[in-house]
Amino acid sequence: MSSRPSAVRAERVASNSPSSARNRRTVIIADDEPSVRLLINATIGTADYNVVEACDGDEAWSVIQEHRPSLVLLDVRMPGRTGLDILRAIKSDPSLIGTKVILLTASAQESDITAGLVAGADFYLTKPFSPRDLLSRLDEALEL
Amino acid sequence: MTEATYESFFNLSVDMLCLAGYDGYFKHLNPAWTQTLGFTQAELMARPYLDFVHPEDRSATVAEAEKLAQGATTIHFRNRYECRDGTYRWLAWTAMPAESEQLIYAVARDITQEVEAEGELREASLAAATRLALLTALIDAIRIGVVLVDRDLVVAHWNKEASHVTGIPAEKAVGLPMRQLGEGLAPRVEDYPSVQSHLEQALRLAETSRFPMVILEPRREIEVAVSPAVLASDGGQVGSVMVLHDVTAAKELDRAKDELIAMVSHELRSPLASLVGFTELLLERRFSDAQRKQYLETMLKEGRRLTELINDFLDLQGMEGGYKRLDLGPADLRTLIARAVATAGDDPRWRIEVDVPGDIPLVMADTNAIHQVFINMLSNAHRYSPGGGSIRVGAMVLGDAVEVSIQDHGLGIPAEALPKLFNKFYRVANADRRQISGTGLGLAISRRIIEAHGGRVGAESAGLGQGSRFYFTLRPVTAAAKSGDVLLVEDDVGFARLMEAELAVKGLSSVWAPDAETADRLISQMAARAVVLDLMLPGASGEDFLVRLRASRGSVVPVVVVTIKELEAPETLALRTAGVVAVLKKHSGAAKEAAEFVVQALSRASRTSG
Repeated sequence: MSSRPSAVRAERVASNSPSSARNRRTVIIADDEPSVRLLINATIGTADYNVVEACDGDEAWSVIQEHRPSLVLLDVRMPGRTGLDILRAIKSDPSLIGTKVILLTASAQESDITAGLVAGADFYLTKPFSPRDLLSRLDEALEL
Repeated sequence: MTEATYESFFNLSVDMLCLAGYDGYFKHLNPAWTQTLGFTQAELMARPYLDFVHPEDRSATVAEAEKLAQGATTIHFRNRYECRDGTYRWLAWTAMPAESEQLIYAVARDITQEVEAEGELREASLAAATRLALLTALIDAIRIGVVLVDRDLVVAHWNKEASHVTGIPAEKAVGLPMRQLGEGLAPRVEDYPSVQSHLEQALRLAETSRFPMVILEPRREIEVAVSPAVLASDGGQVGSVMVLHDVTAAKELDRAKDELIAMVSHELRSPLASLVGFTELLLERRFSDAQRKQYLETMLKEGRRLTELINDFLDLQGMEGGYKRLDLGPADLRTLIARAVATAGDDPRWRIEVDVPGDIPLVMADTNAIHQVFINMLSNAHRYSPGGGSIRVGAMVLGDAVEVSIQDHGLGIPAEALPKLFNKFYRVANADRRQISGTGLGLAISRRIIEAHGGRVGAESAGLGQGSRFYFTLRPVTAAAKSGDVLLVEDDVGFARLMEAELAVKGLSSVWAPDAETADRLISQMAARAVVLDLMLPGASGEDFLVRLRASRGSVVPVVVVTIKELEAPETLALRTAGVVAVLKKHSGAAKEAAEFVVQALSRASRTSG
């Protein structure tokens, strides 16, 4: 594991004031595509959530354990641990019982979607997705 | 009984009775002889009996007569006797000698019908055996396992492929009850109980059934089909036929195809997500100018990536499907490398050093395809050396090939990634590489191109941070590929092929050079009698080549220029002065005209010299 991911994280957290960070809910964006992370960031807006990014499966799992987020936006196909591996790990960790998961899949294959829902994903979105849909799923997931 | 009674019995017999003398003549015959052979008794007694015996049976007949003379009796001796109509009848003999009277007492029976029937039977059984051997050979030749199980569930036939698939030779399998055979195979079959129940049910109930079976070590996926074996004649069941179809390769192909579709779908959807998502956001929300710019730039970048991906993917499909054909011809590597380095651009952070000996042989190459390989490898060397560092391009003769290498001082490649590097969509997963863009198809395309050239491609790295060395081999141009009547200097492959065909019509062979540098080297190695020259070439121009040609070979070799260039009068004049026999504008009929000019020039040259 290189030192770069934690540097990215520190930058993110530092950009939000410490007091508001405590009140806002944490959302993790785990996707290996920088442009998709940028899109999700632009969609949900950093004003409402404390956003933490992860660019591969292993980094995603370590930030999830560190931040205990309210929600994870999880890409299925990533280097290192896959989105499904992480989803199962979240669902079998009692300390992450309140963490909601929205799967982002680029494969649109029935088998992936079924596997995701069986593993306990709250919602799934297929790439390309509409930012509007993403927001409504996000609201739904966080109100549950 | 009286003599007369004996005589009446003698005459009544349907068998042929006779007395023959030791002197070789019949002495006494009954009427059955005449009835069978058609000759009268007088005729039969007038000549030695051996005369009536079929020539092929005479020596056996003489031998048999000698045995009789020595006191032996004859039983079931067979020979052929001539009939009056010229045909022969088969006779079976029983005879005993009477030495005191110097006579042989003999009985012969016409067995012609039996012998013919026997022959037919023998022929039929021979034909049946041949047919059986043929069918067995046929069944053995089929690349599908075929097993015949008889009504007692014992293996009756086990073809070669069945042995191949199961690893059990036919000698062991045939004669073995199926149950015993299955038990032997059980440890190597995945979930044997299920296979066994399928098999037993199918064999017992004589039902048609299909089921999968997986044999381990080496893993083979088999499709088993069992059906009753029924006789065509009466529909009676003689057992069951079991067909074993090895579908390992087909399944493997299916999986690879599924994986490829999933990969392509994933790779295409990611850039699409940015394009569609940002478009929607930009239409529906207000952003600061800086944000708008960032989002639009991302869209442009992702759009370009999508284009690149589609182009690469189509390239690869074209090559794999064999739609894209290589245009092989002699090529000068130094020129190819110079062209690629010029395309890659000059950046002081990644200085490209070229180290190719001047006498490196010409190689057989499709210059556009090899250019693509160079561009791909140089671009990889750039992108995977984020900290800069020199890139060295080298070439050397290695055995019977020319090896080209591109060495960088970049991130290097972990050992476990090396074997997968040339696979489609494979990208080394590593924190340092996340920012490096790419479709994951470049090396797969390069491999296809090099393999289509009959070369090898590979990569080496001492590990992370140690840089990488990519290499590929090409075949040197053979002497045969360098010999021809006409040297064709032309960068347009289509026109070059057309020109070749037109020259061939005139009975002239040609060698194609895609640029002036290759032509320079070819002209010094081949005895070309004429040159067809294009002026606008990728590196040095046609005019440059002409100057060098005149300097080295004088004006002996006639040159025909074919070009799309609009020539001013002084330029045409200059060409004429340099000894160009014709200057043609490139159009569809130009190749034919050029070929005619070449023929004229060559006949003039031979008249002058002869």
